Amino acid sequence: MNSIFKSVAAKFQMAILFFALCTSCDEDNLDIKGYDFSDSAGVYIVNEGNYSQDNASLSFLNLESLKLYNNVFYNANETRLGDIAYSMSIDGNTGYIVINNSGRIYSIDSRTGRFKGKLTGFGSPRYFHMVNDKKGYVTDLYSMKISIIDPSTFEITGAIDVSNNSELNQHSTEQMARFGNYVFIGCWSYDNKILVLDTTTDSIVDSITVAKQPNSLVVDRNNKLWVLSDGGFPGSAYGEEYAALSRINAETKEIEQVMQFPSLEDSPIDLELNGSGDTLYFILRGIRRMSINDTELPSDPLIGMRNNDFYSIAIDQETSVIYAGDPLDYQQNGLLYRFTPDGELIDSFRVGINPGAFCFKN
Amino acid sequence: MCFRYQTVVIKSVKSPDLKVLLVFYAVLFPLLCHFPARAQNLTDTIHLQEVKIFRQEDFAEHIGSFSRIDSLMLNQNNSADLSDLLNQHSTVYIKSTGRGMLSTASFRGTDASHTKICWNGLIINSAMLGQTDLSLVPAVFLDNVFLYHGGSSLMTGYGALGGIIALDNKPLWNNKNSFSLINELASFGTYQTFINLEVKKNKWISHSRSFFSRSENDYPFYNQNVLPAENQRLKNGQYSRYGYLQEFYYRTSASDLFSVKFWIQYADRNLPQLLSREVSTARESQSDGNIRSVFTWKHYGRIGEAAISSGLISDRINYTLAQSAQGNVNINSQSGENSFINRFDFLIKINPKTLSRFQVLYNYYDVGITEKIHSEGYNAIRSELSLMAGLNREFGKRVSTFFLMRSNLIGKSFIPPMPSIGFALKLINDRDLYLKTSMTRNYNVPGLNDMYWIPGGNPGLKPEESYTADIALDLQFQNDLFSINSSITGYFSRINDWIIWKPTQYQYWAPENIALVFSRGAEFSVKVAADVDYAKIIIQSNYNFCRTSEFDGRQLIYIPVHTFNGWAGLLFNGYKLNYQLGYTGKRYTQTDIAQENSETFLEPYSLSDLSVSKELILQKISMNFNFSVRNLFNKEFQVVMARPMPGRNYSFILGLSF
Repeated sequence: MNSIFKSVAAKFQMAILFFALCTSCDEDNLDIKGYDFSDSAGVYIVNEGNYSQDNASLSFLNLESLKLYNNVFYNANETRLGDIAYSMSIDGNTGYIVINNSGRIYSIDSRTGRFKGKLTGFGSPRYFHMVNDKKGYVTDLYSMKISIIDPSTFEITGAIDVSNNSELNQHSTEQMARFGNYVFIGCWSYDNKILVLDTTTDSIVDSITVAKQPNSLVVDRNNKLWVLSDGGFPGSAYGEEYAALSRINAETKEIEQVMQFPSLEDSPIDLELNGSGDTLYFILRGIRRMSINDTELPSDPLIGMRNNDFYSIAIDQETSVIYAGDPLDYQQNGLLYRFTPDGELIDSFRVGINPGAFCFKN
Repeated sequence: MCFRYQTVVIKSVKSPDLKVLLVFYAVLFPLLCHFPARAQNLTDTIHLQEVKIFRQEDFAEHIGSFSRIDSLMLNQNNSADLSDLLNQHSTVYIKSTGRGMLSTASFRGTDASHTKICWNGLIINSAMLGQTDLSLVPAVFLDNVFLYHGGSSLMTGYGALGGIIALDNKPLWNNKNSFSLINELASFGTYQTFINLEVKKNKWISHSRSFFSRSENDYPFYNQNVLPAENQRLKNGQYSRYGYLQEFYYRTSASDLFSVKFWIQYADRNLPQLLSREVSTARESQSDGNIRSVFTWKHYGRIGEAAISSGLISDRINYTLAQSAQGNVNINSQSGENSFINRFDFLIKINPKTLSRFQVLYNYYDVGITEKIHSEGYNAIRSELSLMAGLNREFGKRVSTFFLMRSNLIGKSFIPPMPSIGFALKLINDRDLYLKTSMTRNYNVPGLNDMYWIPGGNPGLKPEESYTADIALDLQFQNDLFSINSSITGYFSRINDWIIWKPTQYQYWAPENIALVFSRGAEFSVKVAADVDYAKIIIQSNYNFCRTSEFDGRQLIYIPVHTFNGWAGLLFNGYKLNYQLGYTGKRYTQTDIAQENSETFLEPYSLSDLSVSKELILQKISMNFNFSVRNLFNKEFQVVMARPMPGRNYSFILGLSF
């Protein structure tokens, strides 16, 4: 009987080998040292994967050839990326991928997809923000601290306390936006604070209270900080309120305007800004667009929902082309759509599971 | 997108609805008291016939699809848990996140909540989760394990769209006191001990069983999900469990049997990290506490039988997650369930060929969960009343039919009637070869977490509805040298409103009735036993072919199309040599299986176990030595993605009994 299974297993391995060969034939930029994206402008698509399945992945869209490469990290390094790849940023030729539920940050060569280094010591890391060549910050959903790292050595060099008046509770730090010597840090889960971090002293110097659960923030061309809050969720002991978009003077830290969404069922996410810093985009039953001079929220989406609501968006800072991730049923490889700034569909690509973040490579 | 976690539990428990209870007993007690007595032997004595899967005398009663875990297998695996037993000796697929960790059953390709676990007549599935962790059911606490496949489960209970696994404890009226002590030492710092004491006196039996189990559970594995890839040992996988089961039986001279069973158990488990997880300070743990008790009165009359059972069940789960480098607890949830479960069965033989049966179930659940860090949770109460009436009728010597109808009242909502109809045909006179078929409609009500979980619970969920049909061929053959029992069954189920949790715009998951699922396939079982001089050889195997898909034909994730297990045993001169082979086919981990590559499915695997044991009898003391090698060929495999499983491991058991 065992021989039968060995035979079956052998055939199976042959099938996989054959499939792998076919796949690699198609990956014409792939060789033993990884890919060659050195001369290509493109965008990395960070596919979160499913929670606790270790099936996050990295895709790359070459913007010149419009060829899409899936499983870039796996193919270049012969190992899985990890569990819930959450965000990515590039500095020079180094890409930093924050892998949330694996508790680590991988650095890769953004020209080849090859692994360069690993940084651990986090709890549930979310975003990496580079201040300069010697310093960056890493936010963490569950940690009492924001980690300070040195990108040149890829080591943790310090920490900033973000405990929230209790040894048991902390600000759940998430997205960051830079303004001068300050970094604004949104605190999303069961929180309503924007922390103000002084990069010269590495200390929290102020905080701003906004509507509950700020999930994304940007600073526009007029030095206004825009904060999108989802308002919490039904049944939450923390309370649910109307979602809101807040405009804050980044210099004075004063809230100038709060635009409240009309329904408790409105739970907007993913506020983005175009390259010229004058147009805002976010996801709410489709993709909505508004000018930074608008005083009212857009009532209709610029781009309607496709399958489920979009999972993520990003705006090309050069062309203002809109990139949007569609998770389909959340358990299969999702779709990447590209739209013109006015919402016309350009093209679409099949990427990995739950495309949740984008990172542009020059 | 982010994920929120939660859980847990608690709540002050309100007392069950006493009015309903009084009505229940006021109506049903007189029925028992006035049921004419039958002066014959009680049928609770165990007369298990090792070589029979399907007994002829069960023909009328079990013309549905039915199987059992052989008593021989129960005795051979008395240090195992129910998930091991089912995995190795049935067609049920077991999904496990690791050794000693959460294990759930998939019956005919259905979800874990579609398999109901019935302990001495009482459904013990969590009303909140809808499922039962089979790794927490020790085999040593079981005397019989019956499997009601598909629609045939409606005879025993409702909601089991996949099937019912019935676990029973039975008295053995042989007037012999006995004691046994079993100790096991196994790999990965594992130690187990089991104590069994039976005291019998005429009409009384007291049966006490207890166990203690602990393991460091630090098995080695090769981790390819970190860079650089390296050999590691499982971290944070320790567990300890202990439990006690007490049974009392009392029988009157002829017609009545009273029993009380009390099962208390506690399990404390650390939960290992994912393969890719690199947070050395993270701690995740869960403790499960269960108290289950049931009182049963059975009355055997001239024209039939009646039984009434009442049980109280209390389940607690505490879950904590400390995920940061500072060690602060991020999730601390506590859940509690108190269940009051009642069952009345009434069976009348109208004439030698006609049997009528009635059943009343009344269950009351009072549950709660609290997540302490955010002070969140819910409390909920549910009552379920189920009425069933059925008729079995034989026509001639070769045809038997049944029809039953069940109707449920869940809270204040009526569930549409659930009928089941079937027949069995004896194909050849004087040969035990039967053709059986049945059709059933069944409903499974959503778990209370599905309805009230914060965040995401959906109180508007509808019950899942299934239509099931199956057809089976059963064969039994026996002569002086050998016996064969074999069964092959084809099945088909259509399940509407299958509940699936999916992400929402709030960035958490919520359940919806979205899927129409088709499950079809075939189950095959065969057992051959032969006596050759001083040796006895037994070979048995099970195979399940299962295609479970949505309307577009895509196989559901984590449901293998092919599963197989085989067992061969050789008994001679006090020695037993056993070989176990299990094969689990490819399981998809994504729904877009058309884009198949090595990252979208888990590899098939086959595992082999080998054991040898020897029994020595010194005066009245029996000593049993057993040595086992599991995963003989040291195969790497994963049942659930990113969860490593143990390689080759060893076990030594010493048993004493008198």
